Amino acid sequence: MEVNLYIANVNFKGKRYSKSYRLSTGDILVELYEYQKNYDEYVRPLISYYSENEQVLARALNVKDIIKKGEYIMGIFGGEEKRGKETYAGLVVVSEGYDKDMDKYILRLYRMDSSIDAPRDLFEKYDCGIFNLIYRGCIHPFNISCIYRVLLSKGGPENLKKFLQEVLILNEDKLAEDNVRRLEILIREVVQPREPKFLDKGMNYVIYRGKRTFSAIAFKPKENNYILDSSVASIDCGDEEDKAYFYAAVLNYLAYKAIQLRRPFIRDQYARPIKAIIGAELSWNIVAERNEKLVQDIVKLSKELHIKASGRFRDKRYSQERQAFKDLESIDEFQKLILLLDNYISKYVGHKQLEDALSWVAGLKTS
Amino acid sequence: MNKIDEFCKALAELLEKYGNGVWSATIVSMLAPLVIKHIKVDIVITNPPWLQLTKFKASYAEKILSKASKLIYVTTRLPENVAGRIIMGSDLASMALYGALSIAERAVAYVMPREASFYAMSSQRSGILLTYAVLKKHETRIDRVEMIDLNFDAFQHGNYPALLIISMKES
Repeated sequence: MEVNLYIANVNFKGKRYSKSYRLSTGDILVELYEYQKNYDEYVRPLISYYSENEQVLARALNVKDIIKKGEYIMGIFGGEEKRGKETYAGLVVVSEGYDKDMDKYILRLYRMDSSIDAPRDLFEKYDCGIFNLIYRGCIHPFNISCIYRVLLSKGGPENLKKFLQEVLILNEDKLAEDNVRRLEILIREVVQPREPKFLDKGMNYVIYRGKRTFSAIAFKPKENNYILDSSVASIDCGDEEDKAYFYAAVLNYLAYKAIQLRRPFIRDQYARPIKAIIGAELSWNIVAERNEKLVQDIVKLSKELHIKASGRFRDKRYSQERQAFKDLESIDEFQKLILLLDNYISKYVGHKQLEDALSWVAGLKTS
Repeated sequence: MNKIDEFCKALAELLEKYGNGVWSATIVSMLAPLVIKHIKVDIVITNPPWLQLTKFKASYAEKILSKASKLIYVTTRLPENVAGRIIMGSDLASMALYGALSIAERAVAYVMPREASFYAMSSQRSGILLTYAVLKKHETRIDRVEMIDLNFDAFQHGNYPALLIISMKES
C-alpha cells in the first residue's frame, strides 16, 4: 500500500467562498504540496505515545513518577446545571464544624441550604473523612487559587453511600423536602475510587491542568490528605523540590508559547505536556548538561513567581485561563524566565523543533 | 404475490396518496444497505457522517465501538484499554471508511475530518490512529492512498476536512 500525503492551499477570489466559483475560471486556486514525511513516520509518534507507560516518561524526565490523571470522583458539585437535569447535593463541604459535647460534625454540603449532623463514630464506621481536593479550575500558572474540602471514604464508594444514607436518616426530619431530594440523588450518583490515592506528605509534585491550558504549580502537601481530581495531572518529583519548581516553570513556559503562537490547546492533555517537554529538550538532565546555571536560575525564578503570582492573583477569577498568563506578563521574573528559556531554545533546540513539540499540546495557529 | 409485487403495490399507493417526486431519497436510503449486500460496488464517493464515536447512539453503536477497538488492537498491538482511550477521540467517519473499503472493488473517495485522518501540523490526535488502523486492515487490497489536508474550513464549522482518495488493487 503506497500512501502519499499532501497539503493543499486553497485560495479564491473575494473574501468569502461562493458556490458559484469554478476551478476552470480561476475563481479558486488550489496548490498541492507534498508532505515531508511518509505515512508511517507521520503516525509513529502517536503510536509511541500510546505505547509508552508512565515509567518511561518518568525516566525521560528523571522524576519518580508521572500521574497522567487524578482520581475520578462524580458528584463533587452536584451535577451540571443542564435543562431537564436535576442538580443535587455536592461532595464539597462548604462549611464544617465540630460539636464537642455531642461528639458530632456539623457540615453543609454544596447546594444544600442547611447543615447536616454526622456523628464522629459514623465517620469511623465507614472510614469517611473530609479531604483536600485539588481541582483543575483552581490551578493557574504558579498559583493555586483554592482547594476544596470534600467528603470521601477511604473504604470506597459503597462505604460513602452507606455513610450518606445513615446521615440522611439522622437528618431527614430537619431538612427541607428539596434538600432531602438533593441528598438522595447524591447517594445515587456519587462515584469515587475504591482505594483513593493521596499525595504523600512532604513530597514534591508538579500539578497541572489535564485539559486545555495546562497551567502548572509546584506543590508540597503538608498532610497526607490531598487528592487530585481526574481533571488534573501531576509529575511526582519525590523529595526533589528544585525539580518540581523547574518543571512547573517549563510547563508554564510551553503553555505560554502556545498562547503566544496563537495555537489552540488540545482538549485532553494528560501526559501530552510531558511529551512536549521531551520534544523541546527541556527535561532537567538535558538542560543541566548544557547549562547547569540555567537550571538554577529557572528554579530560583519559579520559586519567586510562586510567591508573587499567588500574592497578586490568588483571589482573581478567570473566564479564560490565558488571561492568567497575560497577568503574569506584569511580573519581571516571568519576563526573565521567558527570555532565559527563549534563549535556550534558540541556542540548543531551534524554534522549529519547539513548534513541533507544541503540536503535542496545541493545534494549528489560529488567524 | 411475491415480495417485489408487494413492494410495488405499497409504492403505488404512496404515489397515489401523496403524489410523485419526494420518495426517491427516502426509498433509496432504505434500500441501499440491502442492495449493497447483493451487488458489487466499484466506487464509493461520499462525505460520511462526522461524529465523535462515543456520541454515536444508534442501536448498533456498541458493535461499531467494539469493532473499532479490535481494529486498533489488531493493527497496532496497543493494549485494549489503550484502544478504548483512542476511541474516545475517534470519529464515526473512520468506521464509515472501513465499511466503504470492505465493499468497494476499485476506489473510495472520502471527505474526512482531518483531525481523524491527516492533519499536517500534528499527528497527535488520537482519531488519526483509527483511520490508520482501518487502512492497515485493508492494506493488502489497497494499491494507493492519497491523503490531502485541505487546510481550508470548507464547511464553515471550524472542523477542517481532509480528502482521502484510495485506489484498490485489481482483484
